[in-house]
Amino acid sequence: MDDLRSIMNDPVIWAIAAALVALVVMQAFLFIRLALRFSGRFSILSDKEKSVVYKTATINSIGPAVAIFIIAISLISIVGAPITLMRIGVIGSAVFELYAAGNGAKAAGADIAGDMTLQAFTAAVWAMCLGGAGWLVSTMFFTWQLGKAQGKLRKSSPQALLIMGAITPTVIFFVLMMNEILDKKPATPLIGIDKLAAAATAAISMVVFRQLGKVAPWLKEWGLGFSLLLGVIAGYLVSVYMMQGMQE
Amino acid sequence: MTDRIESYYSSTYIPAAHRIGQASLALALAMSLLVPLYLSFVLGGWPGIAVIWTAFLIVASFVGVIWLVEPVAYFPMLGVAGNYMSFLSGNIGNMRLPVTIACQSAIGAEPGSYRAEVAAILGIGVSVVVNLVFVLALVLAGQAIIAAIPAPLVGALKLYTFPALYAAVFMMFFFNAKRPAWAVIAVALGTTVLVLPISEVFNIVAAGFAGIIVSLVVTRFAKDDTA
Repeated sequence: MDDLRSIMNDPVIWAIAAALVALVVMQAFLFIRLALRFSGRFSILSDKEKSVVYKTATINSIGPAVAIFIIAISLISIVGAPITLMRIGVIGSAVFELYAAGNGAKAAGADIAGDMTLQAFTAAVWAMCLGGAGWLVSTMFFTWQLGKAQGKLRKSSPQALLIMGAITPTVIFFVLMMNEILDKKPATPLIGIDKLAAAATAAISMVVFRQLGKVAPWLKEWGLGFSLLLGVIAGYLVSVYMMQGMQE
Repeated sequence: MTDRIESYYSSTYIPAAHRIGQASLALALAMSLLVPLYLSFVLGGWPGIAVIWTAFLIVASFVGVIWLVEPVAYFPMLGVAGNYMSFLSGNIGNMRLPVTIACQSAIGAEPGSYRAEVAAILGIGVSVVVNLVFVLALVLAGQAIIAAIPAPLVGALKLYTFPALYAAVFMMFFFNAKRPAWAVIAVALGTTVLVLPISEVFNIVAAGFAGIIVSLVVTRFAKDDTA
């Protein structure tokens, strides 16, 4: 196991992980440059709007990043720091990686949380990387096709894009929200009331901040972040209250 | 002017976005496979093709459908460049999409417009950098940071961040819809998906697909208000 730990931190693996992180940053830089050129040429966004976007993106990335951080921490002890870096910083999501690693090790007859041979560990890494590769391949293939379809729709029926942009995300986030609230295996025996409180508080806060944003524009940037924080606090308070209720 | 934007967009901007996207994803694909190849053939950990095949089948049976449908389901919000960016960096539903809509809504950009497209790219770009800062902190000092935060706070963040995030983003999309009827249709559709016996893993992409199809149907019956 000690040998395995040193293999997990092998300098070559660190180097590949660092190169992948560099690739992601490079890609983001190239796309931002492309967008800024497009915007500059046809005055699509003003300088003020651009700075609003940068600020809004920064503020609203922090909440999810903290939560991802907490979930991803369990991955470090299992596959080591550099592989966590490349799987969470790039391509993957913590939940999928844990699942893939576990099943890779299982296929080699080992338990990911127990003592692993180098072979079992290698199988776990193969499972994670091949799993991630599926998304990359299909994104390469489909984005090309979808780009063409979107180009046609933009000409023939711009209204369709507007409606799709309104309906599709609303359905997706409604289902994501309900999946959380209706969690079939709640972490606490609270039948999801704590999560319901978190969701309801965040939803109501969002509506309030949205209205307030009309008179105080800075709230447009902070509204989502504040709603998130209020939701987490509400969920926590309800869980404490419920626990006390159960103890009595 | 509009003609010029349209021709620049379709003949210069979009082809460039495909070039950057295809090249970066191909490179990422090759690089990500270097690690298991190195473990297998340099360090001698090769577990045998049978083991890898079994592992691949287990993973593919869980996420194979998602591989195929996710890039399609998220495309209407992300666009060409946004798709390439989001699927390289991951964490789409829980980070890229919320950031995208927050940015578009902060400047009042309509879905599908050029303003929305530029805002999405700038927003996702920033979120990629912020996320990497956190991931770097995680791998360099993760245990120490977690130990320094009070345990109940860690637990609360872990349990309640995502229900709160999804609910707030849902409200944002709900009220951003240009016509309230579209938002109501979306909720009805979402409820239908939840009632059907589809597992949680698949119901999100099912929702995305249903959304795209119903949007096309609604388009046929809606009055044109893009003019």
